[in-house]
Amino acid sequence: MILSPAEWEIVVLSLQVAGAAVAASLPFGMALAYGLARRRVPAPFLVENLIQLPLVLPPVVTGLLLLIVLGPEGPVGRWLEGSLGIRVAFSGIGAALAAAVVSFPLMVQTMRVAFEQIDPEWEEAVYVYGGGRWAVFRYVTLPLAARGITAGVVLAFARAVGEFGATIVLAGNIPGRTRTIPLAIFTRINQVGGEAAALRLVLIAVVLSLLSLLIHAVLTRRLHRLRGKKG
Amino acid sequence: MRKTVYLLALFFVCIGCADEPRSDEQPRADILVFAAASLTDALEALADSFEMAYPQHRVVLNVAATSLLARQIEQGAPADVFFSANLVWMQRLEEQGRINGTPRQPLSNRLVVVGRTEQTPWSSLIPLTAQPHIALADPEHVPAGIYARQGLECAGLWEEVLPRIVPTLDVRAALLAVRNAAADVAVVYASDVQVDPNVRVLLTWPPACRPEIRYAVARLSGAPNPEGADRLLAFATDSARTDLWERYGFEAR
Repeated sequence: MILSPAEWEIVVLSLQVAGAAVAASLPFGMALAYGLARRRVPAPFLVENLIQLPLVLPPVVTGLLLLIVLGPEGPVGRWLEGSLGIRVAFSGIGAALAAAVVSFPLMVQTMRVAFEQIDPEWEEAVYVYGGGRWAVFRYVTLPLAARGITAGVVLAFARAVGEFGATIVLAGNIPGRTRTIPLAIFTRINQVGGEAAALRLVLIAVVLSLLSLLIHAVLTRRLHRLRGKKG
Repeated sequence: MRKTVYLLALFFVCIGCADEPRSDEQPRADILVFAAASLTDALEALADSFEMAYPQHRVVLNVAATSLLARQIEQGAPADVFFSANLVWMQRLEEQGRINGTPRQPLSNRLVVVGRTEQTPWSSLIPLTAQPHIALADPEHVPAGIYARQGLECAGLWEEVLPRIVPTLDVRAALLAVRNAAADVAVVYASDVQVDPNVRVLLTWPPACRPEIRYAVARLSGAPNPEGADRLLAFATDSARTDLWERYGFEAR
């Protein structure tokens, strides 16, 4: 299948937006997942449910809430633009943020399971032999959870690429800036005779999603096998 | 395995940091236009000829449902021009002080009855009462359906037609129902069938009972580029654009 330059632009933008979303939320996601796995987060019940909220809220609602808070006249949005010169709404940053918020629960949940598999005694052993926090993380936690972390990243990436509802509300449907694959499909459907173009984009979306899910499946299967060996 | 993880990590860092999808500093002054999705084709053509006439400007379109765009403008969206498919939303924004001056109503749309290409055109709405399935955007809440209902009530045919109606999600779905032979005819906007070779216009809604379907357009009071907005508005409402609007099935007023 040959893509037109305009379609390439849409695909590249989608990957950039989803990539930025995942890269930006990765440190927070890992820290929260680890904290939840080790029960080191204050008010874990509240925190966990807050994180899971975007998973069950309709994305349009998530987008509307983000727009109210981060819009040009929202409390946080005005401050960001006034003091840091960052405009979130109707920009690529907004598209990435919407994708990040919606895919965050999937990332945290997957990584949390991976961290829970690690026996805390292995981490404590490093302390016994004089290692610091960083050594524990670098030589025990990270290698043991690597597959789970990657699986979380891939799953979040897949969800971010497919994000529509929150994106169109917070970031708009602006070509070259915030029109990602799902928004481009929506636009084509609204155009007379746009069915064929929409279908091509649908195919790309299906291929990208299948690829991500495949990587995720391979990683989690290995994770299970690892667990089996351990037991 | 470790290599795969590092490679994946590198990939995300790369596309993440290479990001910043274009900075806002364009060499040309952007005009951000919020427009009802039904205008997409016509406005893309309008933008092309506008940029030809004013190379110093670039028209950036944001298309979505009128109601969503209005909500975004309420939240302070930095748009310059708003094309609304509906006078009510425009009026609401006007009351909130978001609109500069009085909105213009340069465009209107018409309802048409469409069928498959082998059907013969009608001369009145009466054959509608003999169709087994009539696809219509849900007359409970979708504007196209509400307009059709008003038109049929005015013609005294609504009660007869009602049991034959198949409500659809929107106008597009009604049109698709006819193309896929799921319905015999559909009532849609003239602008939706202009270049569709798979359906035939059987009847343009008779003038006696034609509901008024007007589009409103205005510059927003918070427009970052008021000069460009005014220029685009003048261009769009110029009588020289009549051909362009009609090509896409709209009536220029």
